[in-house]
Order: sequence, then structure tokens, then C-alpha cells
Amino acid sequence: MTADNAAEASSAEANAAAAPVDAAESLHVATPEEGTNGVNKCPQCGGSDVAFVAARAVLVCRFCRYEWQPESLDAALGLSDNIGQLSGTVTSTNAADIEDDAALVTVKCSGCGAEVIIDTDHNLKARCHWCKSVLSLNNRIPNGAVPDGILPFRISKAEAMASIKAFADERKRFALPAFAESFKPENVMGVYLPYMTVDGNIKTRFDGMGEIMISSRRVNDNKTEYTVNVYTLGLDMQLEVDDLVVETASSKANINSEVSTNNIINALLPYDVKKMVRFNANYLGEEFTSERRDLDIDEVEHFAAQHFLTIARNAGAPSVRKFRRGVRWDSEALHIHGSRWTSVLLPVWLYGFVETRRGREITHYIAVNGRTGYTMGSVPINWVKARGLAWGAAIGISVVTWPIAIWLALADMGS
Amino acid sequence: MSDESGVGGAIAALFGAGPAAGFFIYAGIKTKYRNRHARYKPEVAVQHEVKDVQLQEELTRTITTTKLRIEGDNSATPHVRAARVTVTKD
Repeated sequence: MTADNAAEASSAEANAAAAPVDAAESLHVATPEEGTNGVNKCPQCGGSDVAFVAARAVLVCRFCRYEWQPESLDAALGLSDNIGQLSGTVTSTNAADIEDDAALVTVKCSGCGAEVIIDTDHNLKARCHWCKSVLSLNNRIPNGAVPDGILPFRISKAEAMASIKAFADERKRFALPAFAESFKPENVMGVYLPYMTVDGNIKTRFDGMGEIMISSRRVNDNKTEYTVNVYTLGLDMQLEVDDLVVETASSKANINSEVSTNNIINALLPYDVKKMVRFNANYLGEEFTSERRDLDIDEVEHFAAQHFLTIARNAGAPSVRKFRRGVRWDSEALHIHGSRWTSVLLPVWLYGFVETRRGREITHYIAVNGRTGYTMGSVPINWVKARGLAWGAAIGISVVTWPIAIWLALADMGS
Repeated sequence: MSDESGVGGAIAALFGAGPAAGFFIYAGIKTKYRNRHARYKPEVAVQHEVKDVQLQEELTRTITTTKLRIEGDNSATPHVRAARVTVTKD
């Protein structure tokens, strides 16, 4: 695949005016173009060596030191507007379906004409080996590697290392020896993972049963009887959901995976996606890698639907609070009037350790949210030690309590 | 037995104390180290606006039960889906 045909398609999309979201046939919003696919030049001097400075959240030209602020995507695309009028499935340019699965993209260097290959599974920029210009992919290409937006790292590697070390130190005692011995926080990797933000204009209906206690009667010391009114319930509501986030890398989407602790990465959500900016490959710099999106909207829609239902169920809780004996919802119906999808790369500091247990490998992650510093992780357990302590406590306490229990039982029988 | 339930309960508690302590220590280590229940919580993390909430309730019967809560109570677990789920879209 070449970047040229991709650029052609994306420029045609960009020329179309951002469509109003309330028309059923308006199913696309155009993401503004960001430079070109190829040499992405400094607006001041035309240099191609551009870096991201996380401390000031700016891009800086390494040649002339010119700094510029990235464009806010939320404002540019109106991603917080008109959620209540959404109809159909509205997608931004780079959230479109993947048309070509090839990871290797050939980019023609506009500096010298050489063809340079970029492996989009891991990065979106490369240096031309002839003229040393930095080539980058910034606009839509058919394999889904380039997103609409990006939320740049705010947490530095030193901060992430300190968080991961503190997290692991708190769990040293029962950690697997191989983990403890090989633990090196400096091995943490800064990676941008692919997600979609989803806005939803939805309607839900829940049906179930609720109970209210009228009276209670103590039958004996062990038994109480409750007289209860049973109600059938139906709960309807409309919701406008702003910036739900769903994973779009198949390797991370299944949070109940048996081979990696994906729920740890999932638990880093949410991010301050209102602050995402138009994607520019220079955010990746030398330090960060990126993972390519390989799931389309129709493959992750059910995750969004699950989350919509979760939000609605929780939002409906105050309405059924008077049913103090609880509510059992038997059926849930969700109708999506409209949804708006935008693809985004989110920053994660990731430390991984592969544990082999009973012939199976499982990857444990300790991960840090690259914006807030929130840290979550899974540390492999030294099961022998943990079980030893549990059994020790059980036996130690039983040695004291069981003789007392036996003595009490004998005394009770004697009386 | 003079105070059957009281003494019986104390004996059961004394027999169960050791195994229970062992179980809770093991479960506590697993929870702290593995964090298997960690997940995204959109119900509290995602901005949303609720409109036009309508609750229909109808008293169907009065029962006598020894259970403290309704059977199958899922009001406190919004992320766990009900038995039947239907999703439609425009």
C-alpha cells in the first residue's frame, strides 16, 4: 500500500464540509488535514525534525526551535455538541473501516524522492535513509493506523518508573521470585494504544421485579419471616452519553483474556479525551511506539452497547431506591438513535512480565495512565508462599479454637 | 441443650475461624496482587445526561419469605447484564 492513494481519499473527505449531525444521511464528519503523509515540515523554517515537549505540551522544531500548539480536535469537530440530535452512525475521517490490512506502508520522501517503508504496527514515522528527512503518516491510510486524534503523554518516564516501582514494592512479599528478580522499572515502555471515543443518543427500557417489605416476624432465634409486596417494574429513559471510550486493538479488547491481563489496561480509563488534539506523528518521537487499530466500528459496537446499558442501569438506580429489598432486572433493551465515533491514540506506560504456569503463558501488566499517572497492575503470585501463609493461619488459629470448640461441645452435651 | 442455638453457633464459629482466616488471607493476597476485578467504570467515569425517566410499577402480589433480599438482586451490579438483552439502532 502507498500513502498517496490514501492521501487522495482523505483530502476528498476533508473538502466536504463538516456535516450537521441531525440529518440521518449525514454520517461523516471530516477530520481536518494535518500536514501531509511524508515530510511534515515546521511551519516556520520547513525543517522536518520535529519533537514533542511533554512538559509544555507543544511541538518544537529541532532546527529553528519554533514551538506551536496542537489543534484541539474536540473544538474542531464539535465533538461535545448536539449529542441529543445524533442520528445514525456518525464517523470522523480516520474512524472509517479498515480497507487494507497491510502493516507496511511505503512513503515517498518529498526531500529526495526515495521510497521509505514504515511498519505501522509499531510506529508512524521513519527517517529517510538517504536524505535523513523525517517522514511521517499524519492523515488517513486504509489500514487504520492513523487516528483522528491523540492525547499526548503528560507523565514522564521517570514519574512512570517511580509509580510502577511503588506499585511493585507494595507487592514484593508474595511476588513470584522470577518477577522480583527481573523487575527493572526502566524497562517500562511508552506506547500509544488505539481507542474510539463514542457519543451516544440512546433510549433504554428495563423490565424486572422490585420488592418492598411490609412487615417482619421473628419465628425463632434463627429465622425471620418477611411479608413483602412484589411489583413488576418498567423503567424508560433517554440518555446522552459524551465520550465513552472503547478499545480498538483486538489484542487488548478482550478484558477477560486468559493470556494477558488486559483488564489492567482497561482499568486505566478514563482519559481526559476532551483535550485530544489532531494526530501528528511527531508526538510519537523517538521514545514512544504506537499500536495499530485493527477493529472497525461494527466489531466494537457491542462493547459500546454494553457500556451504554451499564451507564443507564446506574443512572436509573435512584428511581427504584424505594424498593429496599432490591430489584431484579430481567430484561434490558437499548435503542441507539445515533452514535458518533472518533479514533484516538491514548498514552500508556506499560511494564510487562510473562509468567509460565502449568505450561501456559500469561502476560502480566503494570500500567500507568500517561495523562493522570493512575497506576494499576497484576503481579504474578508465588502461590507456594501464599498458600503456605493461608494454611499456616488456618492451622494456627484452629489449634487454639478447635480444642475450645470441642470442650464447649462436650460440656454442652454433659449438661 | 439449654441454649442450643447460642452454644451451637459459638461452636461452629470456633471450628470455622481457622479455615475462614486462611481463606480470607488467600483471597486478600489474590485481590491485591492480581486485581482481576479492575475495570473501566463508565457508569461513574463517563459524562452523561439523563432525560425523561419514567418508572411504571404495578403491585402484583404479596408474599411471605425468609429471604432478606429479592432473589437475583442485580440492582447493585449495573455492569452485569440481565438475562435478556436486546440492542437496536436507527
